[in-house]
Amino acid sequence: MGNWRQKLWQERVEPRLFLLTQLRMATDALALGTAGLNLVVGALAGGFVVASSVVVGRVPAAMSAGIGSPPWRSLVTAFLVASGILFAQQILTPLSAALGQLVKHRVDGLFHDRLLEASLRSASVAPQEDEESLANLRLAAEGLEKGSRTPGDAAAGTLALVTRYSRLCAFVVIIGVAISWWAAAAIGLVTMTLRVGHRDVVRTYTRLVPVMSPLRRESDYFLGLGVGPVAAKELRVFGLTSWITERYRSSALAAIRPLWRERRRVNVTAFLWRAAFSLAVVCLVVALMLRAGATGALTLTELTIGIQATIAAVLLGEFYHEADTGTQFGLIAVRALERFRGQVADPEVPGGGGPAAEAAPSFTEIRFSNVSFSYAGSDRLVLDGLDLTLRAGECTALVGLNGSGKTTLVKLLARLYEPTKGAILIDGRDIATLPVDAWRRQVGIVFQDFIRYELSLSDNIAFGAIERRSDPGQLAEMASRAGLADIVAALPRGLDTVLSPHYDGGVELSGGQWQRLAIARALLAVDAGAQILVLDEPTAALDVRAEAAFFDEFAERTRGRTTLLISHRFSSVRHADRIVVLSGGRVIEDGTHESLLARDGRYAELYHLQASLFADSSETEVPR
Amino acid sequence: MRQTLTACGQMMSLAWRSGRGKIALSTVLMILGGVAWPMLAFALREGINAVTTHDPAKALTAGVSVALLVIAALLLQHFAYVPYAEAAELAVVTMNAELIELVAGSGRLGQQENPEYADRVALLRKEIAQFSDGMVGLMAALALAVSMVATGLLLVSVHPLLLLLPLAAVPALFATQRAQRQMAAARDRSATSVRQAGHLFELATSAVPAKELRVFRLQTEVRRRHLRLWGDIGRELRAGELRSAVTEAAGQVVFAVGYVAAVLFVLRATVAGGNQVGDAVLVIVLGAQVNQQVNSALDLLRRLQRMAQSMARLRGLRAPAPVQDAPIAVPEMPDRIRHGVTMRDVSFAYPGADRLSLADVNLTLPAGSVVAVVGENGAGKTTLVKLLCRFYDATAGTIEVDGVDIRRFPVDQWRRRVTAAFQDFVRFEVSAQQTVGVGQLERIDDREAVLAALDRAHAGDLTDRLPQGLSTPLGNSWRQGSELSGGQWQKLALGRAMMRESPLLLILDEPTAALDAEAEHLLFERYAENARRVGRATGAITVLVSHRFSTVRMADLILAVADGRIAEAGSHASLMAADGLYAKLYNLQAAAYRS
Repeated sequence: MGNWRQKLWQERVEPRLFLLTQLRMATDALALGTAGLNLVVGALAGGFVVASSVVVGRVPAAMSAGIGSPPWRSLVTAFLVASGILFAQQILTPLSAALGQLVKHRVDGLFHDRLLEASLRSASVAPQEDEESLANLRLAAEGLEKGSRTPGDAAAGTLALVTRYSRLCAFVVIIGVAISWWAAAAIGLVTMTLRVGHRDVVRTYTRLVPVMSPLRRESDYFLGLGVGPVAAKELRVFGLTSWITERYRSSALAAIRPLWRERRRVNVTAFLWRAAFSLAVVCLVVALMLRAGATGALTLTELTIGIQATIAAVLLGEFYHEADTGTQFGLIAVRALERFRGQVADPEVPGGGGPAAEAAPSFTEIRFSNVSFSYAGSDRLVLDGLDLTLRAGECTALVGLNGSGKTTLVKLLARLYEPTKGAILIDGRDIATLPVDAWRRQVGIVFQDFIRYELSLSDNIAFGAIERRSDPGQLAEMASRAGLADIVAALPRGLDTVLSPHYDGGVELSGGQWQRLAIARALLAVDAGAQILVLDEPTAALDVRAEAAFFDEFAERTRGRTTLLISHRFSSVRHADRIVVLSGGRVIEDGTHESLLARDGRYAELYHLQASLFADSSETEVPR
Repeated sequence: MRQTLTACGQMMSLAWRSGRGKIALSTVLMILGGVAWPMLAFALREGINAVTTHDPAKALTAGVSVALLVIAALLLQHFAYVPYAEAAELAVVTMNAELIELVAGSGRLGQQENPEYADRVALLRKEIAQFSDGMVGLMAALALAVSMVATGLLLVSVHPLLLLLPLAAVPALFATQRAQRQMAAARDRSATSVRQAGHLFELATSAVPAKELRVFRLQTEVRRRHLRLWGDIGRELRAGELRSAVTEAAGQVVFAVGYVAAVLFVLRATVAGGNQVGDAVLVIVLGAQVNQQVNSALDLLRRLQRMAQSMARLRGLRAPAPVQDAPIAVPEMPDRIRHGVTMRDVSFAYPGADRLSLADVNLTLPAGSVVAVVGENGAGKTTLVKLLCRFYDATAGTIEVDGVDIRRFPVDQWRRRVTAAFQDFVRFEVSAQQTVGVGQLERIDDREAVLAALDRAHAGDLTDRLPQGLSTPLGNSWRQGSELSGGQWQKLALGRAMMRESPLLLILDEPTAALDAEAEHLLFERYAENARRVGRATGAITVLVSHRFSTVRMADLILAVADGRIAEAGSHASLMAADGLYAKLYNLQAAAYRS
């Protein structure tokens, strides 16, 4: 019994309450107004049944008295009332639907913002890089992005339920008053039995989602591979079409099976007894009513009211397409958001103190002091007691094989993570004691996977130092410093051009152009006061010629800035003032290009390997 | 309309082939469900008439019929859904399988690199996925048609003039359409805001951009912009919703006038003695349905028309791609190349493009040689490779193997002797064994063959690092899948290319871009070795595209491509001596390493 009650609470009651509290529907004037309107719409349906039945009931008297007689006139009066109710219904129903859509938009707006807030509030990027919390974040976001089955749909669906159930209440009350409360209760029970069945169907589908989605993912994967451009060449070279088709077919059929099993159970088996029960009850009620009518125990009006209300009430035992999917699935995103917020629950960022604690306007060194770091849930130390000093005004290059900790070092420098052990000190002061944003003002970074904003070109640059966005002259200056002057000049709308072909007058840039834009963004940050510039593989998207040009220009422009350059092209690294070799999360070599070559260690080995391939052919004979 | 009907027929026959019993059962249930509605009104009339004539027995029968019909109207379509949904799901699998065959089954790339074609396929995929919804629409249309006919007959039985009632629904229909257009216009007006809000939202909730948004302190800016855009969208939406609600209400009022008039007409006729009381009830109950019927008829028609268009698209895709005429006399595929592969006056333009990607190429790739192709992006390197793979046929000129036009060999036979690794290699998210093994399907599960291929690709150590060795499922699409680095994936792709032991043509299109200096160096030594091994045995030719000159210089023949033409051809030494394009590009890169 307790179990049964718990299940009832969990499946049917708690979600409704959750919806009402989470969606702030109870305090929203628009939502309340719509609910009120929907109550009226529901009541009108009952009113129409009564009024039209009164009309029918007055027919026999009018028949015997003839047209124009008082009974005919009273019939016409009743008819006019019924018509009035009908007109009101016809006008209010579209209005109610429109208001429902507005509520949906408002609630979805609330949730979008709540999700943005939750996603952006942590100083660290750990929630975005942890698989589990990222999954919740994406689940919540995708729920909203699709635009259907959103929290707003849950809200609009709840309002639609108000209409439906106020109708049902009206019909049941009418049956109770006109016929008998037993009949009313029985009919109400029939409708609700069917409704519970329909809700069970959607609930079952919700439960099936996690079972089916991995299976679906597999078949989608093979289908995508088969029809997409990615594998087109290899499918042909290796003759893989029938293999892919077969993999698709078998995984798709496997994905269908659990769906069929559950659907047959919940849509057919579980509905057969509901159908039988309903049939028996409705049979009894309607037959008894008609017989009572025939024997004169019920007046014609009462009988018509009873039958019309019974039929209308039972027909409410259907699936509510405007309400049931929304209320069932719309909460998935909300729940995922709740879980995500739980996972983010970031302890207050250390040093998030007052704005007075601004970083020093200039500094002489940044020191990584015995810094160790491992990602949450992994015991591998990505950085392992790293000691490194970046001197102001120097260009330091960071080299090392993949996985040596280069990118992690950058993340710690930007305080996207805090060190597990050790500290990063600026002129002896732990950067963790500075307010995060004040510290980040000091750093401009071009990430390898920089963002391509589908916004205007000027926004794309201004996002390097948002407080400078109103100065178009400066933005243009940054664009030309990053080598984009020609491109800006060629664009029809100049800096205002949106960088996506999906917009009116928008254009798409090439990979190299995007990269220059990311650099312009970082240059703006530098111009706005950032003292440290980090370049993570800045030339990865450029070809030979462009790469050479980039370093010639760039070295010139950033001279005197504290620069950290990550690259695995030694041709670019060698221009740095200082080169640091990372391996296994530690600094193993540190010096100028010349001194490291002289030292003949790891750097020299890697460098010679790349360079030897360019030595004169007379010196190194290609093995034959 | 004819197209729609044809498409409905096609859908039915597709579903029918997927499950005859299921479709037959659903059809019967749907028809019964459709007819139950008007029959309910009829039974009601009989019941009321029995009451007014004080006939309890007849009233009882009518009562039972009413109850049966209510439940039938309510549940038969619900039950019908299960079998036809199953048939539709099977049909979707069949159609998708067909789509794969259509797109990938032709040996050529043809249109597939054309973004428009890709869009069409993507659209089709989406539409096929909606086939089940289409089936719901089709079945509902069936039930509705039955229902409308029965309704019409019943109305006529009361009075022929009542057939005018559906006419009153026509203004409502137009109003609904107009309201939909008004909403569509409102959505169009806010489309830019919607897209931009979506973009910001996606940035703020995805993993990769999280770093940059924080570093540049854009959290507040993103939220602020999103809120503003959302507000803009809301304003348009509000105006559109209210406008369309008014339009819709106006249409509904017009129908209500017609309905009220019809009821009044019947009431008058009844009172005047022409009809029975039951008739009035019938018209009250049934008349209210007419509006809904007409409206859903239009909705369904639209849905079916959309479905018809996608069925037509599927047919359009199936329309035979212009296939090269079958070779007149199929020569045997040679088992070795004696002299070489020769291109004579070869020109090529991509389908639909005016520009020639290759123009008047004349060259010979000598048997057993390693040929490197260099040039700047867009010069035509990859196009050259695609012609050799026979993804396309030359627009003009011929490619010959030992003097035989390669078009005379059936494509699949040609492919059996070609193998390749591309820069945009595929990450087959299957087991490590299979991701390599697909390089030669006959040996996909042959462990030894895969290990040998990996060894040739200098990736033998890779399997040791996988948790379950060769059986490790790869890729992060799967919960238990291991994700590999770009370099590891690339090595597997190379292993795949090495599965075939005696290809005539080994194509390496920038296959080491994801590897670092050390790995590339070690790997290339293996390449050279393999190329020579294969070359000795069968006269096989290795074609290597690269812009790493360190790799290129050891080729026997280097082709420098510029603007779709072969600008220079020769060995490293001779090209350096010529001091042309190749020497310029080489020196540019090498300079960075010279002190």
